[in-house]
Amino acid sequence: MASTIASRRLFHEYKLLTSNPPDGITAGPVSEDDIFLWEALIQGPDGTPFEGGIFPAELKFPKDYPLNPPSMRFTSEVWHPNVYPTGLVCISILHAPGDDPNHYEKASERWSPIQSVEKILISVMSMLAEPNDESPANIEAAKMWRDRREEFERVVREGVRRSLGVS
Amino acid sequence: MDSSFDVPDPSDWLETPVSQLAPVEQALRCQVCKDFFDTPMITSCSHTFCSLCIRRCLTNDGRCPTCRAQDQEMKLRPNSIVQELVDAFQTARPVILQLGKDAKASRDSGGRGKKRKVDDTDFEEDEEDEEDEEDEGVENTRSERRKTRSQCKSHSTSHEMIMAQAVDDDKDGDFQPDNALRKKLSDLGIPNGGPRALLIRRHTEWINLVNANCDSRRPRTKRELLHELDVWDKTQGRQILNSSSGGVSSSSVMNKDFDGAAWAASHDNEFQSLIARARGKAKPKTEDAGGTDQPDVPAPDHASGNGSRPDESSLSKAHTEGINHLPLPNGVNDHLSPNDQAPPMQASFVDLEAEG
Ligand SMILES: [Zn+2]
Ligand SMILES: [Zn+2]
Repeated sequence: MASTIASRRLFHEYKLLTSNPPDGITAGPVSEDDIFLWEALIQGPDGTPFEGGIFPAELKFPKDYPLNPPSMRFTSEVWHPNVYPTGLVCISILHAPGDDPNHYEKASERWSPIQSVEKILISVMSMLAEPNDESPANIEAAKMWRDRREEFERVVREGVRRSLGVS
Repeated sequence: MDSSFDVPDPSDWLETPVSQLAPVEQALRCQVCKDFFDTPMITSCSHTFCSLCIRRCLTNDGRCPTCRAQDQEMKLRPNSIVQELVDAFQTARPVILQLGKDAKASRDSGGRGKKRKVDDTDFEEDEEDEEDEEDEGVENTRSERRKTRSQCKSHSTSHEMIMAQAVDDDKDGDFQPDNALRKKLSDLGIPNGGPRALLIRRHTEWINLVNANCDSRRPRTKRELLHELDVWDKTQGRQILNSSSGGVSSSSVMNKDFDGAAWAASHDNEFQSLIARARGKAKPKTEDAGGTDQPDVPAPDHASGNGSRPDESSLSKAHTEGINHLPLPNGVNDHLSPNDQAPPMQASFVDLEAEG
């Protein structure tokens, strides 16, 4: 298949991510055959109930990337107000400018072609540390986070331990 | 895929004694495509991108990618000093990089040098081997790099002709059924097959390609542009086809039943090595996380050109079969929504769409 702007751009991003990876983040294409499908690992931020966890996710890029953002989905359980039960991550940087399902995001926070995989993953890391309950993807998790914080943190910690096989 | 993971980029300087050149190179690259500026154009908000990149962005959402200000294609102006800087830097790059590597190698005497092919000329290689008689107005100009302003004008004239033609089309576009649209595409000499949504997007892409080519000091032949359009058809075009024929909306992504656990389990090995790497790098403090004191596993050095991992081809097959046909995050219709900042060509199609 011919190399396109999208695939060259993804090669560039991958090279930068491997030569200078941000703390707690690993990401790259699943294979050389399909540069449009990546997997990522995000470390739970310190000082949060997600600490110690390693959260795998997949990123799927549209063929017109970077005009439009990838979708991102956790492939292990993540109990969090901004993560759908299916694992799909719902934060503003993953929404195209013309596409505001929640009608509250500022255009400046949303996707633009100068954003990057690295910025997405860093945003997701800070999302883990600071949930946004204004328009939750997981309503149960959002309620629990708001009203029963201790229970929320316990559920998250149990999930982390389960995922590491030490519960 | 015809290219490896090995693309020249600013990080190539980091392992040389002249790492200060990394930010210099960074500044000479477009933030949209990450390549060296190709026909740089400056927006009215004073941001610079490749002509084709910014035209695609503006036809996509009408905003500057950097500052999100609204802008119009007709306000773009060439940023010619940037083109000269890029040309000069690209000529100097392999030489300085080699000097830097040699200096580094002799300094470490026996330290490993990165064995990389210096290849940043991908976009120029076809320049001389095609002369095409059909290409009226799109001359090959390698010998004319130092173009005078008057010569540039001839390009902007042909550019304006295309824009003017677009406006013209708009006037008689009160009612244009699909076959009129198809005829228009065949008149332009581009493929005219496929559903309406695809025809419209293909036409937009063609206009962007032609206009960017008119901006360029090294215009490509029509045959090369057609090839590029063909690549577009096989990638983005196919994606548009999938998302419109499947009738899936972006909301179905949210509801899509995805068996994450099974997927993760079937790629266990891959994850184990990634996890080992992440843990090795991160060294978590909490002991109850269990099994965290693995040795540091170095990240794969794809810069060395060794990008392959075991079992990859089989993995990727499984992936693409398992999670197929994810629709565009943005439906095709998003791109056709009325937008007073849109270039004339697109505006004409907005009208057509409303009528059709
Ligand atoms: Zn560019
Ligand atoms: Zn701007």
